[in-house]
Parts: sequence; C-alpha cells; structure tokens
Amino acid sequence: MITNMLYGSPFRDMRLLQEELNRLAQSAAAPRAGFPAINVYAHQDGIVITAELPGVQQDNLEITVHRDTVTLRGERQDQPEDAGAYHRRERGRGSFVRTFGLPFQVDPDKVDAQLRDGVLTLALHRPEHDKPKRIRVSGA
Amino acid sequence: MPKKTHSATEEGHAEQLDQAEQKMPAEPEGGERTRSRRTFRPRVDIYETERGLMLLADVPGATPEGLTITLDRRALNVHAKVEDHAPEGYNPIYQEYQIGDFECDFTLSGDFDADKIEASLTSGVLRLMVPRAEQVEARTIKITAGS
Repeated sequence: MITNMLYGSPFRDMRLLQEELNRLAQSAAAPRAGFPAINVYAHQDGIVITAELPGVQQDNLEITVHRDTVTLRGERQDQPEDAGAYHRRERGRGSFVRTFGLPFQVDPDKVDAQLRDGVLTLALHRPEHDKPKRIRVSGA
Repeated sequence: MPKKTHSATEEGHAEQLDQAEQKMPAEPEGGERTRSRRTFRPRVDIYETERGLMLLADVPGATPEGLTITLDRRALNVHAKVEDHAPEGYNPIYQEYQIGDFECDFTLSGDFDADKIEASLTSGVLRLMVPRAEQVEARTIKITAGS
C-alpha cells in the first residue's frame, strides 16, 4: 500500500524514538515533589478528586478539608523488613504532603472519601448557600 | 492513514502539571493490545529475600480479576487492566495523571523456581514472590557394563 509506504514506517519509527526519549528524560529527572498526582472533575454541585496512592493504607492517610483547600498527608512504606539487596528501586517511598486549592468552598461535613485498589476518590460538595442560583427574569 | 495504537490516543482535555510524579510509558517492544487505552510500565522494586526474589509493582486501580500473569519458559509478563475511575457526569477540569493499563516484562534466571511463584495484590501493589530453586543434589550415574 502506498499509504503504508508514506506514513507507516517512518512515522512509527519517529514515534518510537520520541517515546524512548521521553522515557529517558522521565527516568533521569523524575521529580518526587508532586506525589500524589491528582485529577479533578467538576460538576455543578461539587467536585471529585481522584489520586493514585498505591501501597498507602487507609490508616496512613489523613485528609483535611478547610474552606477551599484540601490537604492529603500520608506515608508510603519505607522498606520491607525482609528486604535484602535491591536490584531495582523505582517505587516512591516515605511521607508526603500535598495541599491544593479548589475553585470554591466546600462543605467540610459532606466529604466522601474512598480508598480502593490504591485509588483515592474524594467527593466534595458545595455548601447550599454557596451554590449558583438561577435568577428569573420577570417580564415588564 | 497511520494505524492508531495505544500510544497515539488523544491527549486529555484538561491541562497537565509537569512536576507531578509522572507515569512511565510502556516499553515500545511490549505487545500491542487491541484496547484503545494507554499502557504504562509500573514502577517496580526488586529485592532479595531469604527465600528468593521479591518483586513489587505499583498498579493503582488494578483488580485481581483484571490481572494476567503469564510465564512462558523464563519470560514473565504482567498485564493489569485498569478500569476508568473517572466519575460519571463530571467534567475533567484538571488532570495530572492518565488512566491506563500496566504492563511489564521480566526474564528470570535459571536459579529460580518458576513453578512456585506466588502473587498477591493489595491496595494497588502487586507482590510477586519468586523462590530460589532448591539445590539439586548431585547424582551419580551408574554405568552398566556392556556385554
């Protein structure tokens, strides 16, 4: 196929090379400051934050909500007792703290946190008085 | 048109932060899956224990049902399917990580007993115990005299 000749292999090679470069760049300078990485999803009435926290136990995770800031504090296991010589060590370890601001205030009493399979799902709701209100336009 | 593969999926709509602990892309020579998902290589710790080798892999979001561990001779392949955990009816407004499957390959040396590998998955961490093979006792081979 002519399309294959034009697009298939050279673009694929370039892509593979690019991926390899990305991989090298990432492994060389993997920053540890931003753990855990978070995703934020918004809805009219609230917000959902998800974070990947592999190896973090429920008891080792502390979540604080104050006005419009959320703090995640916790610890990942440092070193297993039975560990001898390491052949490879890539997993993050030690304690972490991460604070982030939200676009609006949240109701600290209506926070729903779930930690399952190493993924944290944090559902936060907007307080009633802070929700956007629809204003009716009255006719003249 | 170039063939669309798992690594050529569209970028997330929301902005991304560089300083977060990023996931690593899967090895390019890894098997190409027909799922239209991103695939990542998990962060792995490998260390020696008294019994053999312990292998820990961070696979957040993986469930025991979605985990496939295959051993073909000395090649150990781990594939963890991860379901999208984005809540329904919500719009992504900020994204630091992407959700995708995990895959990694290892080659075991001959000193290990590949038949006795134990695997467990707890809170997004896969633990693989690869026991060292027991010492094979020296055997004397009898020679039968030919008549």
